[in-house]
Amino acid sequence: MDRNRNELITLRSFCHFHEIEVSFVIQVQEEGLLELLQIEEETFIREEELSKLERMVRLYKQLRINAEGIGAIMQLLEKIEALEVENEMLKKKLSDK
Amino acid sequence: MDFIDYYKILELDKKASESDIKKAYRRLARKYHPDLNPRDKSAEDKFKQVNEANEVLSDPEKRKKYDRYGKDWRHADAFEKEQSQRKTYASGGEQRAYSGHYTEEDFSEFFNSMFGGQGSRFSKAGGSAGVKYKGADYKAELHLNLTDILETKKHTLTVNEKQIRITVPAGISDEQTIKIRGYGGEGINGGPNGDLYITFKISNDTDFVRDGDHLYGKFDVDLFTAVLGGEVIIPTLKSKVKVKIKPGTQSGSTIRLKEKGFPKYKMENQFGDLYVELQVKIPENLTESQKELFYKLKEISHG
Repeated sequence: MDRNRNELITLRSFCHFHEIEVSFVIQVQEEGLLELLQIEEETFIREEELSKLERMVRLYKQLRINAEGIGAIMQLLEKIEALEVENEMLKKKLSDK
Repeated sequence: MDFIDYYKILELDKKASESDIKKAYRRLARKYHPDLNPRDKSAEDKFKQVNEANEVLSDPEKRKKYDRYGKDWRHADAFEKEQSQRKTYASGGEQRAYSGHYTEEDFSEFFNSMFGGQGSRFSKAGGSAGVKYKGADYKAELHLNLTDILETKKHTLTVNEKQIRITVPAGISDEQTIKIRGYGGEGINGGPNGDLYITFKISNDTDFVRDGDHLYGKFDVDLFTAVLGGEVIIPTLKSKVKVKIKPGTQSGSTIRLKEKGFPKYKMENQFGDLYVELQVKIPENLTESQKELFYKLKEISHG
């Protein structure tokens, strides 16, 4: 449990650091883009989700995209990434021939 | 020296209204945002330029200053005239001083000093100001031999002139990429550093073929041992093992040496298997007496 605690960030401190409202992170969770952990009275974010959430925060703050829009973007980015990997693989196959 | 035309960056002309600037900024920020253009360095650079342009043009005070000095700054005559009027420069017509001083400066630095920026030019941004931005992710390759990854070892590599010592777990795969958090580009405006992605390129410097945790090899068995059975010493990746050969072993048959294969990634003291294909060697250049015995054997067998 102690080890796990070290890998958790409180929602409060995350929002304070990034100067965003807690409600944004809750909306992101409601969109199914993030999992929050509730331990006793405190809500936590898993460390491995941090980079993904920070990306969403940037899209929200810098481009004023709401949680629903971010959901659509994340899905498209995943698709692009898979296509890029496939493209690289096909390129490699072609050059091997 | 590069003159930065902020209007051009935002694809606007000088008559652009505040709302035109806002719209252009939003459109271009969306277009070049690094999170929407992963692994695209040119988009990231454009995004920075768009931010810088917006920082200046969206602030009426800064825009006024930019319009006044920025536009004219390349025209020495106008500056000299202005300088002499303001009497801020040494008298005596020292015309070389102004251009001489600034031509050696990077233009952005010039603007930094012009707008009072110190360090990050994003720190004073208005509107979407103060956004903490994660630094760029770096990519690197580490080339190792198969025999280098039999055990977990530390390796030192240099990325952007920075020495990084990493622990490479035994059994890592070719083309496998690991992420080292915080070793990428520096974050902007207090944002976190980017990450470093290291892709491993593993060359096979052994006679074995690797397939995941398993290894495949070949071993020559003399005819007599193959026919009569016996013991042979087979080399593995790390040592040698004594193996019993059954009588009547066929050429091309495979034996499995359990846990003599490759170390399993991040599973200490666990190994895959080693598959050895036995190749029976038919003796050549027989002596007369050997030939005689083989003939005898033939006769008996066919009899």
